[in-house]
Amino acid sequence: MSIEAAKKRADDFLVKAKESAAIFSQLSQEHVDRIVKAVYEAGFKNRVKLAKMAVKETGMGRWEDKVIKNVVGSLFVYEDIKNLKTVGILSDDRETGIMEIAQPIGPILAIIPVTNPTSTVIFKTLIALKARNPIIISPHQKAIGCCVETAKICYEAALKEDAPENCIQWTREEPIDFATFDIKDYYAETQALMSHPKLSLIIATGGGGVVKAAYTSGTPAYGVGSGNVPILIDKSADISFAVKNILISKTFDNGTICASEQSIVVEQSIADAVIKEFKAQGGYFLSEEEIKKVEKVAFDREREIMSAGVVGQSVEKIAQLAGINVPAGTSVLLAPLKGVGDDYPLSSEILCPILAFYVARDFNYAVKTCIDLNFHGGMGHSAGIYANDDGVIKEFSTEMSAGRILVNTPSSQGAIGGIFNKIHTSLTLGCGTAGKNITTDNITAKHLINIQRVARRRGNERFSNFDANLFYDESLSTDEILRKFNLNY
Amino acid sequence: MAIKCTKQEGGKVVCTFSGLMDTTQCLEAEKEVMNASEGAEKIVFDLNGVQYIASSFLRLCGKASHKVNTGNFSIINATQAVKNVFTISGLVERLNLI
Repeated sequence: MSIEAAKKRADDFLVKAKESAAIFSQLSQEHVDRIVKAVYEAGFKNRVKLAKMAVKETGMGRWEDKVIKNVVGSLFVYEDIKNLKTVGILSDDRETGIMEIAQPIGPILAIIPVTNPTSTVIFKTLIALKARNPIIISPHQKAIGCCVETAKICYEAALKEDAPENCIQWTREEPIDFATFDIKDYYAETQALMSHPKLSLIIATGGGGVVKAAYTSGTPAYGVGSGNVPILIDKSADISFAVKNILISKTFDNGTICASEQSIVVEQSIADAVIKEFKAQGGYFLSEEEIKKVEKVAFDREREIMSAGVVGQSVEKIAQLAGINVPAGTSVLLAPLKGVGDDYPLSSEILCPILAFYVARDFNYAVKTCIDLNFHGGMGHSAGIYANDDGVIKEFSTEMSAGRILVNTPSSQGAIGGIFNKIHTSLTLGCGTAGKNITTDNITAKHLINIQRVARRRGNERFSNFDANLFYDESLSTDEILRKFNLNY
Repeated sequence: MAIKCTKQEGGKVVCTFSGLMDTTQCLEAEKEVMNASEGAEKIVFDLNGVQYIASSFLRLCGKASHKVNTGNFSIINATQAVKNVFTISGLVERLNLI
């Protein structure tokens, strides 16, 4: 596809989206809420069908867990946003004189990842519509069928509530024929959409490449940095509980959530107990020789990222690929490592049931290891701690560069909110400036409105009583000026 | 009925709309507009009293504008809120919004 053809195609999407945005701008809160409710209900109703479609098409994860993801993307997201005011006057404070008014931002391009395709489509659609914005779904090339089906289900439900036409569009109609597929066409299309002047915002969830492309497109973007989530088990932790929760999280959808645990760090004093507990609960500790075999299949040395072939795969499949034998019923593979960085490929983010395992001589070294892991590809994302000592939790949290610090919580489900805590339910997790993102928030509907502030005149008593000419007098010290400025205040 | 079309001299048809032009109203209106504009040389949509327009109304405008030569379709008396819709969608010039 030529660049011109890609631009023309993008133009067609954006002309429709802009018309949709225009109609959307008239809708009342009550009308918007009816649309959002209908879309959530449709997504929820189809949660099982869409989960099975996603697993069949992508070959990643477990359909039972993808059902739960669809529940999170529909029901939990809906419950999180349903009472949020997104139309008209949000607040009017007579004392400060400031009135806040919500305005829609306009057409949004949603980049959908292969790891959480249908749930992310439902989630992004709900938050976009809640804020009166049309959305264009751009699915990963290996998840087109399930994403388009999800988008169609959402769109039909929205139209039944008289939503604006084309409030949900999708960039492809049919799954790609990989025999004739040219990835350059895909990039050209995405690039043309991302940089289109009529596009208002990109919400990019996916690999580092697509997120960077979004940020450099010239269009405002919410992106998600990559994760590399360290988990510290402190000596004050309930070890059995900690291991159980880590396994619940790491095995969820075969580890495809970017907030899933990547490394476990324990102090020497409790290492034996933790190892024993992991073994008792189905963990398998790899030998040095086995680690080398697993590294080869799990990490792409050339591209310096996880190998696509293991993402979302089961322990059995990974063991088979690596040519190692593991006991039946093994839930995760644990790799005891001596260091962090390029020489230790399993210390990187790998979205499958593999955990790096570190033993540190004391708490300070354990925190240092977590920081090293944090800096090795997961800055700003998430980290976790199991502890029953608030001082330890605070110290750990202060040291980490992470948007979310999950305490005594499975990190996969904890980071996305709504299940184990009260942070906003979201499948787009901001990683702050450390992760090259603009926010550490869990992205939701409130991020998709422009807030106008009407500032009524309210005097500054000190300024109005002060002789402003004194500001020009260089002979006066700062203290003298401030004394007069604050006089009788 | 939220629409009334009248034929005037010189092949001019004026369609006056009112209230909420949602999808249901637009379906009704489309029949009336298409019937009345048969053979028309000039079509005017008077939106005085229209508080809301759905996507289908934009489509109806586009359809009606194609019934006559370029420049012979126009929209008059739209409220500022409705004008904003045409402005945001980039249709002001194409639909000759006055």
